[in-house]
Amino acid sequence: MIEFHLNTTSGVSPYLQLVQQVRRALRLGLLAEGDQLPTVKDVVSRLAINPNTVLKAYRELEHSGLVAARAGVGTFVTSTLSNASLAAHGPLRVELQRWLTKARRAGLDDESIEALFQDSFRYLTDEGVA
Amino acid sequence: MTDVLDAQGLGKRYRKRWALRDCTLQVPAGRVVGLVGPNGAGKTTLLHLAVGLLAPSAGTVGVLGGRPAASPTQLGRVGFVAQETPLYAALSVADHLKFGAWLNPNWDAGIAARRIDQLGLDPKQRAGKLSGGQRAQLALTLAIAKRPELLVLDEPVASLDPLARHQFLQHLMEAAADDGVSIVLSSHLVSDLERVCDYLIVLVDSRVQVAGDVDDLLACHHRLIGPRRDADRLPANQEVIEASHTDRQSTFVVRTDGPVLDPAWTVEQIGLEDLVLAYMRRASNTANSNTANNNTANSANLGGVE
Amino acid sequence: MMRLSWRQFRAQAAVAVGLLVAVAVVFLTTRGHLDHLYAVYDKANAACIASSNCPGVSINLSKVDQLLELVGTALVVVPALVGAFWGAPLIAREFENGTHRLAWTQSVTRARWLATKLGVVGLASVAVSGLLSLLVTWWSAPIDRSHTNRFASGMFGERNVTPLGYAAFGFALGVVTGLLMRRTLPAMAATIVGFLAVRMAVTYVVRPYIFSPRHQSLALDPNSMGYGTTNGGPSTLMPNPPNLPNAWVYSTHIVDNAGHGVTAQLVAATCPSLGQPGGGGPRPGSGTDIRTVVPAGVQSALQDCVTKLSATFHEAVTYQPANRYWTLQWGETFVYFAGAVALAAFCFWWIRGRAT
Repeated sequence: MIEFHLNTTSGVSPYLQLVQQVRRALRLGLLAEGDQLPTVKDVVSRLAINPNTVLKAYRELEHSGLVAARAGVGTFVTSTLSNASLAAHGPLRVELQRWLTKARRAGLDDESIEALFQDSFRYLTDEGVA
Repeated sequence: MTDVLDAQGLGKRYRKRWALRDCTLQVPAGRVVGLVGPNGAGKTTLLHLAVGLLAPSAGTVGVLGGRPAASPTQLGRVGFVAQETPLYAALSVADHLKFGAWLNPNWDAGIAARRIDQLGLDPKQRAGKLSGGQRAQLALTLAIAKRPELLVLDEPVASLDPLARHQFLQHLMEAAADDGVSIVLSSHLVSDLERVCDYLIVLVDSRVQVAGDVDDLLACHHRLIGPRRDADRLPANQEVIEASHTDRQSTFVVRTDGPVLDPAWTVEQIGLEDLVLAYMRRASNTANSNTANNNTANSANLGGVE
Repeated sequence: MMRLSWRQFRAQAAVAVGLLVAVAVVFLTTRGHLDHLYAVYDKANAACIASSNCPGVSINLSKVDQLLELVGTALVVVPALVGAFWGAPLIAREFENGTHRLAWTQSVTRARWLATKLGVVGLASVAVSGLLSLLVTWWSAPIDRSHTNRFASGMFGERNVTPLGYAAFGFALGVVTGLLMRRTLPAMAATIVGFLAVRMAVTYVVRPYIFSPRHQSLALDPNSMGYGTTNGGPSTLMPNPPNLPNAWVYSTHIVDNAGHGVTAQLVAATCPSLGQPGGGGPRPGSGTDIRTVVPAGVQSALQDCVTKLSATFHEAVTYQPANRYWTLQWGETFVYFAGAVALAAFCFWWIRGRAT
């Protein structure tokens, strides 16, 4: 079972944060098919947020085909995002770490590294690759 | 579903002063409604009218389709936590639960007992000896255990420390998740309400300034930043809530249903707190200019025919 | 709602029960002694009356008198205290603490809330006052047997049924004061002042007219007429109280057939020989057995005077007969209960339309 948290200063709306956290968990393999998401009551009771926010997040995930609600029981994962890509995580992670070490040695600070990444990512996305 | 609160031209007057005027609202059921406004704006008056502690001086108010406090049944459908969470100081926590059971036919003793247990309250402790957070939680338990369809809370977290505030809101949201009970709570701080409310009513100077679903309000209000321009030069479908100018730059908070097409503007999303502030400032500007107009009119009258 | 009212009232009720028990204990232990004291006194008194040479018998009642006075005051004060301590806080305290906002948003209407509170504590007030009155009336029976004026303004309210009415009214007055002033302490003070004022007013202005008094005409009696002065005015005839045992005599006047009173000037004109200041003749009696001895010459002059005047004047007595005592008791109790009911009705009306 995963646990949600809320970042009030990130500027991202609460329901979107919940959706993102579920997707990330799916991607990282923390959630597998058949796992149950925390009940609305549990989330609300921990985070002190509006239950409709949680419902909205779960509904969007359902729309994306990732989860399904079973009346009276709860919300369950129906498919994962990891698929084959999970296997590629290991080597990709290692490559990333090598690149980061290189960037550090070259004297880049945190902001520069992040700016460089965002820039390249956006460029590639626009080019239709990433 | 019937509206949980239906006010038409609702007003309340004390001698010469109107504490609330021209209040027209249709609040749908199943929401957590935040009533926000500065102190003295009329929040408590509106809530007291909704639970039947006050009778209107003008207009009507309907709650869950009925008149407030009209009958024991109607009283049983609405739970209320008043400001300063009044409790019987000499009675113990257990006594309060007993009296809740005596006075409410729909009382659920199981929920009450479970909650008191969870909170770690000592049933024999006298209510006068509880901390602020504990009093608030006890008052909330009393209101929830009578299984109302609507919970009304008047500034419930105003004097609580951050932990007590968080715990109170956790308890409240659990109740909302549990039975789909509608909630109306008031505060003079927007930050209290942001996490929990999905419907907002802004009350300033005894009048409702804006009311609606939080998502809708955030979607139709924008901050426009651009070159210096007068407010009346903006398109008619953009209602200017607030305007501020430097010699070169203008910043507007506008409300609009359509898109903002003018490329000169940088369009930004506006946060809930800023939105409320904009309306509060507009209301105080209106009040000031009314006073100024009255003064001008008065001095014109005194000065004879112009 | 009844259970809640009782729970809120519990501590105050305990105090009242404690005090009642204390009073009962004191009375129970002293009554025997009192009986004995009065038995002795009655015997001595009878003997004194039988012999013609006995100026009077007194009874050493100092301690008893003190206790009686204390208890008598208590019965006057208890309704005021009930009003202040039980009535005034009933609603005022709820307003002060804001708990009315808690009570009025439970599934109980305001009318039922008020009715139950009034009922529970009102009944307790009347019961406490009734029990206290019962105790006092029982305990002072020997004293009351000897002192025969049950109608005296103080005594009338300290026995039997009237304290019940006072308690009901005091309580209702307290509740209304608390309701209007919304603060407990000022309401308590106002209740005590208000209650005592009403008691005074009813005792002196209303009580004599709850039932119309009777009138009687008596011939002037030369043997029992007095002569003297009241308040230092000119000397005139002063009638003896008529022989109406245990009755409540409002007044006795010497009047002619047209109702005009006899004036000092007329007496002086008709009986010039009675001119000495301070008079002669027997002083107006007070119902006790004290007699004064007067010089024979003054006495016969007075008797002649009275005989002369009795041609045109008679004694008009306004009074309530002794057998009206219980009627008056119930009558006054009813007046106070009616007042209490009116005040209670006002509370209901006020609370219906009233605000936070």
